[in-house]
Amino acid sequence: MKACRQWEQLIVEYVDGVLQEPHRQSLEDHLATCMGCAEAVETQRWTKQAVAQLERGHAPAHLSRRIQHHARASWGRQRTMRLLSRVSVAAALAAAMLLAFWWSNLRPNVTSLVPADEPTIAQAIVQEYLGAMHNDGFSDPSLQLLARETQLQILRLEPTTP
Amino acid sequence: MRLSDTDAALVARCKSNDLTAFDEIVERYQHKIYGYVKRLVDNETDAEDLTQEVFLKALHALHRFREESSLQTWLFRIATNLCRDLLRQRQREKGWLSVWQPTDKQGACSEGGIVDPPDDRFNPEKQLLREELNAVLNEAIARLPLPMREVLILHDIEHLPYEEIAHALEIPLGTVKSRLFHARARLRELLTNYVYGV
Repeated sequence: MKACRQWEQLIVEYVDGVLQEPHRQSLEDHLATCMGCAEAVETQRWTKQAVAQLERGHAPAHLSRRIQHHARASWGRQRTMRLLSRVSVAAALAAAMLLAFWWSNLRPNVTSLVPADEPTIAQAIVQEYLGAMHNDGFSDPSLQLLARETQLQILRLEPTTP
Repeated sequence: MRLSDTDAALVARCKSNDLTAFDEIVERYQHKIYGYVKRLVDNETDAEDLTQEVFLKALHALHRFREESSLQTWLFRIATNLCRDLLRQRQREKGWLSVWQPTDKQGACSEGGIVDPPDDRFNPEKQLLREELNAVLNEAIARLPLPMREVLILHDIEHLPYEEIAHALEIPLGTVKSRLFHARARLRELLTNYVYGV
């Protein structure tokens, strides 16, 4: 006969001696009327007792020394790897800082060239344009005025050279 | 060496790079882990290798161990996962054998003998009977499906409470009890078959 499925877990706790009231009383009432569950209790007790006689596993004597030896070797390797990774991170940071320092020193020279060059080139372009207009006989006064104003703006931007 | 250190104290010492604390953990739990692993994988050499792997894995993962479960439970969890991996690998290699079904005996146990060498110095007759009983039981346990075997060994041999087994195997508490119920019932069937030669 099969045990009732809903009582299985309580039967395990009952056999293991950990089933608390009021579940214990409920199960005992049920066992009095259910042959399948009563048989299951006996089966559980019998098997538990049989297995309890089994000898516990015993590791061979050399195993702990072997584990401890490998532990030390792998621990040493892991620490070396950790140290190496820290050193490489530190080196990368130092390189980044050096690069930033170099860039910040170099940058003023680069920026100082830009305003000096840019108006000169722009001025040359406008002058060429004005010259071309004059040669072509283009004589719209408003456009000529606009071109002159642009030229003056550019001259104002151009840094004064000693 | 502080032999009376609690597990928590040993873990704390280990976390501060004291390897002697790790040695103590090995001494304290090697037999339990080895016994459990050997019953799961049913092979001495594999059991030794896996036991070593359990402790080495624990050593390197110890800084992540938050002590939400006991050290013992945590070690059993690592052992369970490594055993499952090995059994899956065996399954792949064999192709046809499912780890979730009763397995045939392998390696040293394939002829029904127990693995440990006999020690009959004191009472040869009694020792022989004991060994025969152990052999039959071990044979029957090895034939249980893996999920049942794990729970039965952890509860009825290693005496872990249900809650610790649930943590170690990462299954609900009810499943632990249910598997234990069916493991015992199945073991009884297997032993009855053995006794009556079925």
